[in-house]
Amino acid sequence: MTASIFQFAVSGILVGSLYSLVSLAIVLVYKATHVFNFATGSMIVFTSFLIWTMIGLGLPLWLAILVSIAFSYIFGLLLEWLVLRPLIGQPLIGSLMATLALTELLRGLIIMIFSAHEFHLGYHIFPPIVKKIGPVFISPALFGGFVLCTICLIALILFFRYSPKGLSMRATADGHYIAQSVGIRVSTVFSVTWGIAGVICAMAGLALMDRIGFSIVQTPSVVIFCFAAVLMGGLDSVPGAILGGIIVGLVSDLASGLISSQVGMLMPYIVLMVVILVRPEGIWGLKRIERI
Amino acid sequence: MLVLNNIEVTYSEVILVLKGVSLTVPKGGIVAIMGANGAGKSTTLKAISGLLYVEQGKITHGSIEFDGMRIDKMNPQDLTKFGIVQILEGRQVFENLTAEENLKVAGYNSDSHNVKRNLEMVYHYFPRLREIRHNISGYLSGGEQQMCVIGRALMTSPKLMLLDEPSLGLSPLLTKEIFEILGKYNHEQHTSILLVEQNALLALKLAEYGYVMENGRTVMDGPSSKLLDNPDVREFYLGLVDIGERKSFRDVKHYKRRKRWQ
Repeated sequence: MTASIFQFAVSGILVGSLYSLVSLAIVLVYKATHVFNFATGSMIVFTSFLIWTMIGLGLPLWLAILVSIAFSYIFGLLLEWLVLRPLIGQPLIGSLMATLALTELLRGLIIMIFSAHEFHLGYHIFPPIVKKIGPVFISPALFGGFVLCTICLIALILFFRYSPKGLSMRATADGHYIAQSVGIRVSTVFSVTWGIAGVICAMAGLALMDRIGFSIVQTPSVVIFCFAAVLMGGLDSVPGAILGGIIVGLVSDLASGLISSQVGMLMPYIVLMVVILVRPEGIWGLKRIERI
Repeated sequence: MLVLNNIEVTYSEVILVLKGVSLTVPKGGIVAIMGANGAGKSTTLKAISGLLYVEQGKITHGSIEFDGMRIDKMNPQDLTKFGIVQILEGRQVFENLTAEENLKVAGYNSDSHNVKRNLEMVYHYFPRLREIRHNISGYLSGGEQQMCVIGRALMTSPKLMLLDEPSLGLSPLLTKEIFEILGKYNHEQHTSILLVEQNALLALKLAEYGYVMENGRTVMDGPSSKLLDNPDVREFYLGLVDIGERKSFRDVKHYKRRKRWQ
């Protein structure tokens, strides 16, 4: 029993890192533009197909990934430019509905250009370095995904802490008007944010692809878990998103392993409801105290 | 040198806020704008800094020139690089950034390539900022936030600073300190300053020249010493009747005495 709890806890954390990364993409877009990006799931599928296509072209894996990262960045920029840029200055509900519409649009495009079928690589990207830690078995796909997600998370945190662009992005999140008064080009910050979200989606797609494959039907259901993680951690909190992702992974894996997979699907939402009841702003979310 | 030539500003294409404002800020000079609430002082600053466009405002008439170049069609980002920076009203720091990050972000987004040197320069003028540089600016006191905001503007190596009510909500002593630093900075770096201020006495002591605005127009201007002697300015902005004497409410007879500048 203890061994299996251990087993599920470890796999839960490993899966959770993926949720953390995807949640971070949602939080970044929300912080910069105050738009909740419902289209994240479709973006992951789209960028997965980009990677798939690059590999299919016969490029070596590392080159395929690099090219896909570049394309995913451009893909993010394009989405911002085509869909959200025209809505700047309009009521926020418009942008929100636009990302919902984008979800459907991307789904249609993917089915049209690629396919609605499920795709599997047929081989593993991540080498089986670690197979067992103590009594716990670890699948190479899960561990590789964890390493990939952690590297991305650390890179993003360093980017926001130390790079001038990252600093400008954090400043913009604090106030668009003030940002403009010190010479920050807010529209550039918006597009860079979406570009980064695109790259994160590609990386998440890569981690998922190796483990469970991808399809327009299945992959977005993974992202539903990330919505729960984002709300749990606090919509505008980067550490909250990371923590939320880990909690969701942990809770769902433990519940599905120890009770049943149906409960595992449900458990993150039960935890989410408890968290929201106790702290409406999420674990690390900002509680705005207005001075009147 | 900044020249505003008879500008008109409209918000949302209907509300006429400025109805022909002309003013000049000489190179390296300090000029003050005074006026009641709603006179159009902040709008004048925003028209110069380009922030007007963000608020659906538009310059519908007249021109703004800086060093001989038309700038009334430029956006705030280019204007910052060009050397014009506005310090917004109400101590608007980036709350979740540290004091130093607040300063740095302005340095990175301006044309000044030497962020480190500028940072030292700001710490030289505001030694207090060096002490609190790693504190989250949202938690700083009002005075520290105002220093942070002014310091942030200095990071862009401005040729012209537009200051909107730097004394708002600060103690008289702190206001005096900040004004002294501003005067020193202007004297040493030869940066022009256009100052909007409710505290007319303080403003006219710092500035060499002043404008009085009312209902979207400049109604009066002159060297500070002259304005300080003007009976209308004395009564309506300084609250004085005769030299040194405070005005008593018994003498208030607004029906009799009208402002004569219109």
